[in-house]
Amino acid sequence: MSVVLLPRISAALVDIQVSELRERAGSDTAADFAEVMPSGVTVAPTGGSPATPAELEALRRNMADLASQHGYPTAPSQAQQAGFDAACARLLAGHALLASAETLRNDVWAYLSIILFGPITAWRFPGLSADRFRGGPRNAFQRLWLRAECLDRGESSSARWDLLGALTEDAAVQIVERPAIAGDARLALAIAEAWNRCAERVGKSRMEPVMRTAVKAIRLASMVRRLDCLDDASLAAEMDAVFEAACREHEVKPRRLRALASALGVG
Amino acid sequence: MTHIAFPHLTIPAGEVDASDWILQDAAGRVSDLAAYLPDWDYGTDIVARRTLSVDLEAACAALGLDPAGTAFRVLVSVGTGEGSLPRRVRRYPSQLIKGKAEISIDLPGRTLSHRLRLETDIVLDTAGGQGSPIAPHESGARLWSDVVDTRLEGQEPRFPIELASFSKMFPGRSEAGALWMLHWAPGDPHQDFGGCVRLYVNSDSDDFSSRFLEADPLTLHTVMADVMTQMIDTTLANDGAADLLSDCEETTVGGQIRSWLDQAFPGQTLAAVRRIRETSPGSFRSQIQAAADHAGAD
Repeated sequence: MSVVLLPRISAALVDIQVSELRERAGSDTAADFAEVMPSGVTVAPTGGSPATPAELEALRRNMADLASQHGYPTAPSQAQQAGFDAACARLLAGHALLASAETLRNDVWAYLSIILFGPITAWRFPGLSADRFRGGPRNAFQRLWLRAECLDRGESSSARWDLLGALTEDAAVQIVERPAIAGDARLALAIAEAWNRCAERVGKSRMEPVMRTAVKAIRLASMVRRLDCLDDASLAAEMDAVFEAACREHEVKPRRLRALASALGVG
Repeated sequence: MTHIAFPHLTIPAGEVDASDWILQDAAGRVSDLAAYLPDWDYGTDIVARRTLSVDLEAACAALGLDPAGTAFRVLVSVGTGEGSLPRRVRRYPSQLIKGKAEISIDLPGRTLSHRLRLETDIVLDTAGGQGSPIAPHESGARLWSDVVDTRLEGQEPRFPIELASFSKMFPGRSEAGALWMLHWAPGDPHQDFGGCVRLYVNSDSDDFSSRFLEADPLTLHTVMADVMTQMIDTTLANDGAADLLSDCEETTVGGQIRSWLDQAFPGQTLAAVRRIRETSPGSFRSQIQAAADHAGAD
């Protein structure tokens, strides 16, 4: 099957486009959608077939429809942002145009964010921060695609995408923005599942320091030991042990114990 | 395996005989895995092969393990994608190594991008009796490894560089007349260096861009000095520079800046370097400039 080649745009051009977007801020966002292949946009010369303008327009329409379901173009609430992020990650993960290694390129995500979905990026991140448009783990859409890659429980799971909504922003960032972890989907998923189990016990609000300590410990452990040698159950047990140790380090106790300690005046 | 302080003994390099990786494309053409793979695109499916031989008796002696009951496993992971560390890593099924292992990995072109990073590990499968308190005992303990990192497409240098026409990139703007421009966003030193830093070289200046592409030492030195000065100076201007840099991994922007600081100001504390920057800006820049001679833009 031929690879669908996606348009690319350089980071320097993204910055210029972002400045222009800032100058137009407040104008009619629907009118801000540019043509799909403006000057400066390139496509790999060989290796597959370039995505057609019709295919790109269809992808844009899919994304615009999704954004509309979550309030676009009206300024989104936090709940709308979260809802859009989870749905968008699922859309990106399953889209035929995004099924090849083209999605590993920053300049492809830069194109999607500034050219194809520009007004939607600006709607989702109203501050028009350049790092939401440039390629990289903070790119408005690449970050969601990376999350979907890391947090996918697999087609056979009835709760395939539940982790997308379960993890806090901090937890997702700790996984996705560390290439040593995000690059290994099985390890990333095992960490996310362990986070989820731990958060159910101690509460999400107390997980930030725990996650940071756990991720650091896992990264160090994986330098001296190939964790992928472990079967699923052993890997899960190892991850739980790391989170347990991190909870102890930060004196985070299970919720019931905390309530008891508080009631006794010793918590 | 030189930068990690292992908590267990490892196999000395001399006890493993690892062949170079050999690549074969669909047309049957065979080549060594070089620093970059020219003429590669998504349509190029390749097979990577190598052999590994381990003297099990000697390896067990070095590890403090009884050969009876000790088994090793060989694992290969394939990394690909932009950045200092690969964006995506695929683990291939491991195999027990009984003296010699033949490794063959299919690499469909559509799954690769930017680079091909092949990491080979020999790990502990099961440990026989231990003759040393620091003998490896956990399944998966890394005992030996090597990594080969190859650029695909022949266009992705290790220091991200792009040749571009500044008159087209910056029409009507003053940057159009510059010879080069470093694109990076200060503020987050935890970002992956390869993924967020890019040096643009102005192709409108034939003379300069030719010198750059021909790796003229003086040209590279000058550009690298500017790159290093810019990134170090901007970072040190922040009062919290020490905190910012302390926790950065090697492959991040902060890790690279720390490495440059070590080269330019060996043995000096960050506070001392900041003092030089404030009291002797000329010396500060000269020392960075001198270090740039060794940094190279690859």
